[in-house]
Amino acid sequence: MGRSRYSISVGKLLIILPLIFMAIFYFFPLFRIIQLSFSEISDWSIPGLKAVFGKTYLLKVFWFTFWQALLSTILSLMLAIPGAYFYSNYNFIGKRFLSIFSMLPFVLPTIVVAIAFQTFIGPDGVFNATIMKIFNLKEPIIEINQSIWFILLAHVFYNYSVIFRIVTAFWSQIRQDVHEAAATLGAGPKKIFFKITLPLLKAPIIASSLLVFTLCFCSFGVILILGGPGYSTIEVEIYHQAVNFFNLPLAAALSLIQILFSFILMALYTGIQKRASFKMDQNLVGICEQKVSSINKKIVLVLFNSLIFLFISCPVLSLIYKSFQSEQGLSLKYYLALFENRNDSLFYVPPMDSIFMSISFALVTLFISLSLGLLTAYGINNQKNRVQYFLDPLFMLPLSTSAVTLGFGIIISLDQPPLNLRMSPLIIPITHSLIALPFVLRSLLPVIRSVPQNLKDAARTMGATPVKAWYLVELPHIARGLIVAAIFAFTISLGEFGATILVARPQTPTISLTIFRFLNQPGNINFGQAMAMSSILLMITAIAFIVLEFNRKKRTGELI
Amino acid sequence: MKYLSLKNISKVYSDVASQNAWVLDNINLEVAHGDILALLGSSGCGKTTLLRLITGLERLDNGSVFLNGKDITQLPTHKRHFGMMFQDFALFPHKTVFENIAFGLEINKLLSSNKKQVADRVEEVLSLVNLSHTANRYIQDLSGGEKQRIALARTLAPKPKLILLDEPLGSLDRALREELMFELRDILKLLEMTAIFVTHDQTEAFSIADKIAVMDKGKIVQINEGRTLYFKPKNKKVAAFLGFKNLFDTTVDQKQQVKTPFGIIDIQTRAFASGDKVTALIRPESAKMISVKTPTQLGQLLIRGILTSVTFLGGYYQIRIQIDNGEKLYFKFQNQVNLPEINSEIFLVIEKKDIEIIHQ
Repeated sequence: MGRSRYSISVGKLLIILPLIFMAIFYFFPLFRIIQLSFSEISDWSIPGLKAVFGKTYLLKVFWFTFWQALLSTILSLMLAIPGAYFYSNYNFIGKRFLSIFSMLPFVLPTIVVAIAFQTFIGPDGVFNATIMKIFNLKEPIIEINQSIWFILLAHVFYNYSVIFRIVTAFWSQIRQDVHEAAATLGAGPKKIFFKITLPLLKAPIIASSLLVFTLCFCSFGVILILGGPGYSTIEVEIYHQAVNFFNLPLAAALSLIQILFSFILMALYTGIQKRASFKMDQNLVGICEQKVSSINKKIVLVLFNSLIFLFISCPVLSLIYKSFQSEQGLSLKYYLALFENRNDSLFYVPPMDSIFMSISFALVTLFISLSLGLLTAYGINNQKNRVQYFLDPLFMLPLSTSAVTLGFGIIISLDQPPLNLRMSPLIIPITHSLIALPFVLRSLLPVIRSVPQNLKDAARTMGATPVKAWYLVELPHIARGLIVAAIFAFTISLGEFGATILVARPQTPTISLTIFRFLNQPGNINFGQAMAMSSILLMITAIAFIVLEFNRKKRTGELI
Repeated sequence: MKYLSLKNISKVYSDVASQNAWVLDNINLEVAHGDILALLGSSGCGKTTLLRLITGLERLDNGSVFLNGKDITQLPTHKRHFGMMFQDFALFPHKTVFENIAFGLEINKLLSSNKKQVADRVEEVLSLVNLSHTANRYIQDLSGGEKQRIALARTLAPKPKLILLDEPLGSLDRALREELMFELRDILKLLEMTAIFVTHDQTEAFSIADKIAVMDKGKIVQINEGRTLYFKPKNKKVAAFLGFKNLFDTTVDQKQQVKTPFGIIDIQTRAFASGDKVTALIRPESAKMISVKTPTQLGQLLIRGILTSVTFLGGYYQIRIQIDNGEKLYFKFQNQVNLPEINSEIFLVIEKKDIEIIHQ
């Protein structure tokens, strides 16, 4: 090809810096976790493993982690499949808005979702208060505080859109004429659905369910805040063992289990997803969206849309509403309190400062993960195909490692010279960058690959230097991908909770941590401030989400 | 009563995006058993909509469809037992070639009571299209031509009462299309299938069909055998659609004559009254070249023009000449003819009887 030997080697070398980053901040902590868990699990025989994990309370944790994830996935499926049916086959007013709106929960920080649900259906929540007022009741009618339903509801809220989005993308790619062909061959509507549509959707349904199962399996914030002391997943247990009991070897052993599980699940997910996109070859893309004709379907559609709209908007609006309500009625009391450092406060910094601190962390994360992301994307793209197949999934690994394990690994490995980051505030944006890198990479790699080589060649033949050609031809092409990547990095950093709670020092709390600490303090003013801060975080995330949606490539089967 | 007949079919189809309402306007059509009919027309003329109405995939707003004298207008698609071949073949991407073809057999319990019967029939149609070796392949592993044949095999397998083909060769390249054109006709004729197929390509229509229905703006303009269509196009639209370029608008005068840029022609038939707007059609192969300006004989017209281009097209030359009033004419000549230099004068004669007068 026309490239010089020099430019090829530079292009290949770009990957070195990201590889070093991964080695230090991902693989070394992973190695330390394994090492540490070996000190706990000295005997790898069945009785030996039983001695470590066989304790009743741990078995309960494993069992709970599994069945709550399974139930959450089933409930999400039950909501998502009818939704996908309507959204991929019919056209109606408000469709675009609602399909974007239903993605909002996915980007909301865990802590915000947890508080939003409390303000909506908690004992003092808007829902109970309204019902009690209308029917003049003394007791709240829904009491799901610290119950499994609270957790399940939040998980469905989070993950419904994951299945919905993936399945809809595939479903609307099934060409109408395939259904029509089946009809002319003698298949009625039911047979068409069960013999053609469903088999075609099998892979995306299984893949997205696996993804949701993995996310719920690794759920941390929702369980910690909404579940209370009664419920513990493996993820929560690692946190308790590491922070409350300081039993690091057991925490490491549990992390190892968590890592194994999530790796297996993610490997299954990627395998199935690859097969799914392979079968839906691009020539088969066809969109047929008719209007809903039958009156029954219209009613179901309206009910469904209302349910989704209320399900998403009610908790969010309750949060904002309650954050402006004090004992005296409408007031800015909770917001104003954010600026004070009250004497009885346990915090080293005024709450408002943590917002600025969080934003600074987010900006540093954005810088680190975008620089690394660009280096990685070009670095991967410049390799031979065989090397690409190996490198691409390597950088996706942090995605399939749970947040708490990542944070735990970092604090047990980077706490001594030559690299002691325990006391450095940089440890937060570095951890966030590690988590954001897969998202950044998935936003950048496709757009970089989509820049037509002949455009670059044309610029070169017209006399542009490589740098100028990149700046004038390639950059405008990938600008959208860069914006999406930047927003991912920024919002992930702002909302990150599971890893941050482990790596952050008390004097450098992020917004999420400050909110969490407020929640652990008694009193209205503390809960009020938690709501006020959550509302602020919600606003920032929602704005970022809107910008994100405007820049996202339309109709992709992949979530990120 | 013909095998399939359509009576007063109308369809209003409002396209939300462009605010256009395409109409199928009072279509009447009959197809005899074993005949192949082509619906020929430019895109948007309603030919695919008509096909979809016959299959029941699209509801009609008015009219009836009869098969063997039975009204099937209200019968849903899957109970009609028609076969349809789709433009991009619409093969099931999650099934193998065998499973694709077996689908129509397994769905209809009457056609196949056991697996052996299904397998036998699949093998039968696969060998009909010469693709027995592909049975276990997945659809994405087939070439374009193979997909086309598998789609045909799948359509034929359940022995449909009528087979409908929507641009069956449209997505194939030219060489393949010409090869498969004849194969398609052979297979349909061998099985004595009644078939309707949609195309915008006149060569395809001429090669495959027994009869051709030319459609324009939701109406059938003319139904005839290919030969009749070519030599007696009903109006200027049909002529233009068949690829004729030398068309001159004129009016019938009191003496049953029309004026053309090259002279006056008497109208032979009584089909036209004075004052009728007509078009004179000169076929490209109808002219003879003469070397010097000789007086024309009775019944001949002289065309004098400037030769502006000569295109070599393999078996023949296509020439373009410009006449005095600026209009351009196109003719075809054998390779042996000695053409004058480009941009020099050229003289051609045409027999008056070769000039066709048709409706505008």
